[in-house]
Amino acid sequence: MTGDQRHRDYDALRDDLAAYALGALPADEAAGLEEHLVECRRCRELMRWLSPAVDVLPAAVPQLVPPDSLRDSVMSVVRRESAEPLGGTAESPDRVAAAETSRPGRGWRRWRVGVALRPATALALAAVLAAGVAGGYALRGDQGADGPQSTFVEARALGGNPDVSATLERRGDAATLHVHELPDLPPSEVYEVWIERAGVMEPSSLFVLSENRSGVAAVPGPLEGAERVLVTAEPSGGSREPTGPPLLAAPLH
Amino acid sequence: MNQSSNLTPEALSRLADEDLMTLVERKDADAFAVLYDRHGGAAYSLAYRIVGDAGAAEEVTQEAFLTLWRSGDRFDAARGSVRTWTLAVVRNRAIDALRRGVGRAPKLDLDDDALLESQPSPTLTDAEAIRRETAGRVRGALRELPAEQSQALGLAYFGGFTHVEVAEKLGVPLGTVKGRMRLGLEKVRFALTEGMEAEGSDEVLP
Repeated sequence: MTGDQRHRDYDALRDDLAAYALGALPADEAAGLEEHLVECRRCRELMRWLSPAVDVLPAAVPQLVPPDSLRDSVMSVVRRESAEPLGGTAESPDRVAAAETSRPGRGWRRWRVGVALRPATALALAAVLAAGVAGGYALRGDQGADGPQSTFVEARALGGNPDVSATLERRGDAATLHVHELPDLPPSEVYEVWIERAGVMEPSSLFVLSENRSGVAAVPGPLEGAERVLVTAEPSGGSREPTGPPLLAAPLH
Repeated sequence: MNQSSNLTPEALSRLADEDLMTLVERKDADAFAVLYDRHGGAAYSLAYRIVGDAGAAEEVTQEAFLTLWRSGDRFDAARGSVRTWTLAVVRNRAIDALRRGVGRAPKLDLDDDALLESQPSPTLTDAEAIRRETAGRVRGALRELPAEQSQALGLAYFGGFTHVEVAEKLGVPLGTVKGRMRLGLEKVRFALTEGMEAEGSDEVLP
């Protein structure tokens, strides 16, 4: 990396970062930009900001139902290999991973992988790369005969804590919220679940964390017509209206 | 050698993706089945969009999921979600397939929403209704882009072309193509930010 390159015009760098994020930089240029990213915080921040735009592009394509035969064929290999001793697979993980990371033109993915090798920047980037766009998914299960199916929604962490994650499991008109990595609260506070309906926050349930900073909260219905399920920290005993900022939000539709 | 977690399918289905990946590292096939059911549709849909052929899309999806199965220990939750990782592997595999000449020619346009909607498709699902808001926002942003910007984005992301190849294909200067990619991508990013602002985010362009 020469001084000239390092001080390239910011607009040109922005162009390169976008091409890199899209996987459209040729391998040699991608390698140069990766070196620059390690050194340049400003570009790392721009990369962090830009990445979700690439991550959501798959959401723009029509969503299709894969044939059942595809699931059968994937799972038959998986079940066979799961029965083998560990490490006995035909294609070793290292080889696969090497293949995934050595292709040209996939710069930004390789950059993500490369970060692990550079502890000085890994910490800063961990927060960066955890940033993403929340989405949801429905589980196609076999439990249909026994009642309503469960639908799972990934909640979005709000308030800038990228470690927080949560899944809302909706079944019929009620739900269960599974949270992970919420911060521990002082003894005088609890977490409170809210149901947002027409812009109004209705108190739902209270919960505390287990030792591993996870928790499960019941979210009794009705959820029909509500927009989101949110969580705040409140004085112990709970509040009738939220007094703190929402820490996560799960959309209901 | 059964590496099963001994969790019931019901219990597994309650776990977050990251927890399932921990089990997958221990070769738990049942945990992997849950991940497949959550992300197989999105993976197949992306593969189909890139290769344009149902048979090739199935091959790509299978390859990608077997990669995840065999190298799940490479997954690091700090670097992105399971879904993002999965779709990145799918894209890589799909573009490799395109370059090998599998499937139909890549679609060259992203400038017409009708093209996104009108592809001959095996079956449209409504199972991912929750994602529609994000999907709708992304599609809306793409639809509003000037045609040359969405075309540049589409050629790069879904076509797997480098900026140099896109410039050659379109017969425009490289700098122009790079600018189009950046402007297009930034607009998509701003569209996401607008959606988040309603939920209290205060993101700004650095």
